[in-house]
Amino acid sequence: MTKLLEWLLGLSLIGMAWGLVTFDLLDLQLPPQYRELAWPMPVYLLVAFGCYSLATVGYRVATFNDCEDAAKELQAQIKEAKEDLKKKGLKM
Amino acid sequence: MASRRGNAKTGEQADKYSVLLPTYNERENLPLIVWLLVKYFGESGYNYEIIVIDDGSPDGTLQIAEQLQKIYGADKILLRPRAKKLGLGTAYIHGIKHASGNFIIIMDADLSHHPKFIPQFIEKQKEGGYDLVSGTRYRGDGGVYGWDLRRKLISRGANFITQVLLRPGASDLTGSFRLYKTEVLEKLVEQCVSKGYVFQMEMIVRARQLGYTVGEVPISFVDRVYGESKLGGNEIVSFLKGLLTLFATT
Repeated sequence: MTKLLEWLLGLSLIGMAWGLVTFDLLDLQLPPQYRELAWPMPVYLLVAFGCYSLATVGYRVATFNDCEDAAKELQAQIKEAKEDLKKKGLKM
Repeated sequence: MASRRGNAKTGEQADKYSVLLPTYNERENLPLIVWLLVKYFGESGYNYEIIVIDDGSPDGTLQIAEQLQKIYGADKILLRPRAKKLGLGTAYIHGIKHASGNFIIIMDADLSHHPKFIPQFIEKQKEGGYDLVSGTRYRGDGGVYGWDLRRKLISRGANFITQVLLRPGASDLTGSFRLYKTEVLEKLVEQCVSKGYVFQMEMIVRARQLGYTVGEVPISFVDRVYGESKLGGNEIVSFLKGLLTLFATT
């Protein structure tokens, strides 16, 4: 199954469950609190996911390692390499 | 071909690592990357070869490569140039054909990938028997140098969307610093159809699909010592298109 199909399947299942509870499609006569809770769920979940995404990406950008030492080390090694290669006869 | 897999009786000594270096206008960087590769492979004692796949660079990259071959030996530096700039996927296929190692290392030739991580890749692979080991900028003490806030934001944002949509089981999908078992790379390149960043992503996604195991090693990515790298609107759009294609087809 492709990821797209997995998503469609998952969303359909959730959508059906939501529709069932919110609109009482099976005539289950659930207490009104269930219906009141279920009705705005899609929007709540979307907003929650949106916040989670922003927070996660924000955190990851803020903690993205800056490899200062790696850059310095590379510069030093480039110098070393150039000298060594010149000795070995490389004409650049 | 039979000798490629090595002799089980002699064990680790039979492992050989072929480094594929596709180059285009890397006249300045090629000697440096080769020098670093020779240094770290030499220190670690692993058996290796470097295959330079130059796509007809007008700046004389091939001539520099020939000099390097004289210095380090034709058994260590193999030149397998092509007439013009063709894609990365075909460069890998071309390189694999000429590789005598049972492992292949792919990396950028512009010094953004540092050979010092290669022994770590090798050890990680031995540790878990992984089919492929991927260098990651996003976990452990992996990271980047030379990126501004915009670039970091785009990178993390794109990676986040990719993780949500594809759940790939690897933290860095667009990275191109990896170690593969030769037969695994062969199989994957056969299957992959995308280009650019998405090609590297597709390799890992397909690897997971085929049941291959993926290990990770944190790496530092030092952006472009010489020259400029760009990430404009076009790249972003084609990345998203490629991502959605993978989403719908894998």
